[in-house]
Amino acid sequence: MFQTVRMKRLRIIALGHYKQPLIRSLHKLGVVQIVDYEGTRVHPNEVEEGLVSLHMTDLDLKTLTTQVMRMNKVLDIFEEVDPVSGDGFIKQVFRPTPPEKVPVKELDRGTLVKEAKKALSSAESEVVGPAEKLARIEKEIAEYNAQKTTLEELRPLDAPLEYIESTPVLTSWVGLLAKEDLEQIEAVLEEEAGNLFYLGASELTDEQEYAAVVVCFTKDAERVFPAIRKAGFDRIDVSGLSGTPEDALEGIEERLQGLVKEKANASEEIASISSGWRESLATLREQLNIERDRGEIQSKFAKTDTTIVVEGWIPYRYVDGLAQAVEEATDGYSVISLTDPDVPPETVPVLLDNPGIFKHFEFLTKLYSLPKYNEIDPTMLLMPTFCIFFGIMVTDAAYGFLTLLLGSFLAIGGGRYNRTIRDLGVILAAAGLATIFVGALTGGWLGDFAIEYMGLSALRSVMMLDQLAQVQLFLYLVLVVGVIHLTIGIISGILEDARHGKLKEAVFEKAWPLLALPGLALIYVGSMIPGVALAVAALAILITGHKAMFFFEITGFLGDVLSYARLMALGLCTFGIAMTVNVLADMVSSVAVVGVIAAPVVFVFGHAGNWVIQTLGGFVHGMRLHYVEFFSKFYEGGGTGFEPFVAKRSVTEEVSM
Amino acid sequence: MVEITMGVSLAALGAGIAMGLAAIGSGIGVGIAGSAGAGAIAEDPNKFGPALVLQALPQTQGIYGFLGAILIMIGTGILGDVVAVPTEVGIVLLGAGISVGLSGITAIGQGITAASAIGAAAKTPETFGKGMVLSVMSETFAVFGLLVAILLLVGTGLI
Repeated sequence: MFQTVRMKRLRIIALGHYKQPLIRSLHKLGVVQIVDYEGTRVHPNEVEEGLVSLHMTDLDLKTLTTQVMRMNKVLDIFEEVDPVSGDGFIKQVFRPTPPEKVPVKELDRGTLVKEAKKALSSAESEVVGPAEKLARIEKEIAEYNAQKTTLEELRPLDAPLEYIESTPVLTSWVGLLAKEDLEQIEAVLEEEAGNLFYLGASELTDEQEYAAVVVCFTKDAERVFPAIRKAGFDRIDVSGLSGTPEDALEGIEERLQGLVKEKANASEEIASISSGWRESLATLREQLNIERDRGEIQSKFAKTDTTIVVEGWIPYRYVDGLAQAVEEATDGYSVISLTDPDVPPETVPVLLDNPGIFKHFEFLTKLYSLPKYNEIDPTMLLMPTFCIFFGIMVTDAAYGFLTLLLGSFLAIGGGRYNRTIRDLGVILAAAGLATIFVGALTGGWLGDFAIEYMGLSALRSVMMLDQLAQVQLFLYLVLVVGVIHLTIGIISGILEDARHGKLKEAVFEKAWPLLALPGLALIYVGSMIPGVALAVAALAILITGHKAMFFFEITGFLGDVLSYARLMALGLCTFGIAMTVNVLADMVSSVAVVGVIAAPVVFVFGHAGNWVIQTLGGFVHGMRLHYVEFFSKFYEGGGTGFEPFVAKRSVTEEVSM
Repeated sequence: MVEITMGVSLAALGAGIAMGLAAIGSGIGVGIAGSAGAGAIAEDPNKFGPALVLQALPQTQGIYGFLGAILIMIGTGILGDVVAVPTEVGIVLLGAGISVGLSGITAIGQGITAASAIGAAAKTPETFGKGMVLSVMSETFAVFGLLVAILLLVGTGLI
């Protein structure tokens, strides 16, 4: 319940002959986390050390990896040309299409590799031609587009580009120069080239630039070029182009259109190939990956001359199932030994185990941190208060109902195949339910809409707290809630420490509020003597536990309590904004013609927006109160998750035909 | 309906300052954190959840400002029962409002820490909880500000 799943340290020794069946069986069972062989490092044992050595890596791994890479390559080509159309976001979340899994038989590795090879060579041979063609076409298109960009800039220039070159006598360049630089460039040319140059410019372009040709004697070129460049001449490389820019552009345009059509044809070809091969290649790839995992795991084993040694962790509840499977796989030629974990708790893998609805709230615990193996699992403590706090912060029954609906649709829609969506859906549904209750108790039904505007004063009968009229009471109530929550946290912290044998320190460090609060309460109601006694005792423990820092402990605790004031503030906020939306809608509805249409629009969008913001706020601040104020009293986290050796199947499912 | 005396006016000024200044602090703080969040999701859109939660942390000061303003309004009868508020008491409430409002500026510091925490959580998801704790350290002083305001209200007998 408040514990993580009990783990056993596992060791299987089996006859080497049965290595593959054993691996296969464990992979299918999926309940063991296999770790690197540690054996004699943890429990020094001379006999074992002499016999055991580390297992080498599987020799087939290279083949398998190469085949997977080839498959990835082909499937990537398919994906680029003909992407798989998945569900859109909304559909994925609320009404996902069920994933279709291809049924496959159990194949031994040799057969699998052969089949994969066959499929790959066929697919590759079909696809390699069109794929290369496509790549070539795309390259040409890119080149032409680059040329196009260049030529666009030179469009106004009426010069045949094939003459822009460097001959032994003359050197010419073509490029752009800004209007204001023209004079200076001319001056530079006169200086560097004497008067032996030609500068021919086109009309001004839109960007106030001239496209120009500069010609000078080659003997001057070395001096001229840097000078004109410095003066603002922006040279453009037109090597390989011919005709005037205008003509060249036309030609390129024609070519591009032709190429685009060719590209479409090539893509279609590949698409039709993909429809034939995609499914079988994806299936084979998954099977290859599974074989690869089975191959890789071997490097964690140890071996002797005739046996193999497998070490790992297994949740206690699966032990019987494991024993049977291993027995079957190894024809009885195996020994299983189980021990309780005797290593530092940080290294034991953690699996959470909460019943029913609490399981979905593990999402929130994991978001903070998994507990260490011997630490308390706070999920069950977290669930009720999270929902209640959410309810208090939203305090509107109608909004709560919307949240409940949203959560339910998420859970039964996208949640059917996606764990995270399911968890989120359940959390929202539970929180929404709590909100309906709190909303009813505080008279929030779309703010004051139901009670004031619709006259449903019957709803007043379930009201126990008028949010607006009894604000002070509201504040005191949430502070009391905060104190209770913190107390639960402190008590949990002390119990945890007691479990680990640190009760005395725990009491002196943490227990003082447990005495101070009742003490203050007693003083408040006038019962002075017991009250003061408790308060003094609290102070004594506090100072003993914290010495000079005791003052900061008090302020820290005060800060923690005041932090819960946000429950009331946010709750009031929701109500206030809802009220405002109602007032606005009311005002708009009295406007002449458009009022009848505009008022409902204001109403719906106003409340929808308020609902979204307040729900988000309730979620986030609820989380924050738990993570910072609550967890810090008793929970550290830092555990590592249990990662079982299991076959990852997303497109296949194994059947025994 | 409350009679608008000088005392009530000054108290209202205090309420406005409380909310307004705290809003500045929270707004800037949340904005700084949000900008880090945008950077995080640009690299990995899956980090939106933790980024959103961390970004919400500097909101606290705005909430405290709101709370302070509400308490001032209740204490002076602007909301709730009518109360007689002399000018001097109004100035006390102005002080309460300033206390909450100015201490709300601490949200900027909180936002800076939250921004870095978002970066940390995006890179190393295990640091999410710790980053949260680091971020809320600045809040201590906002809490003191609120506490002073509450004590002023209690001390003048208005609450």
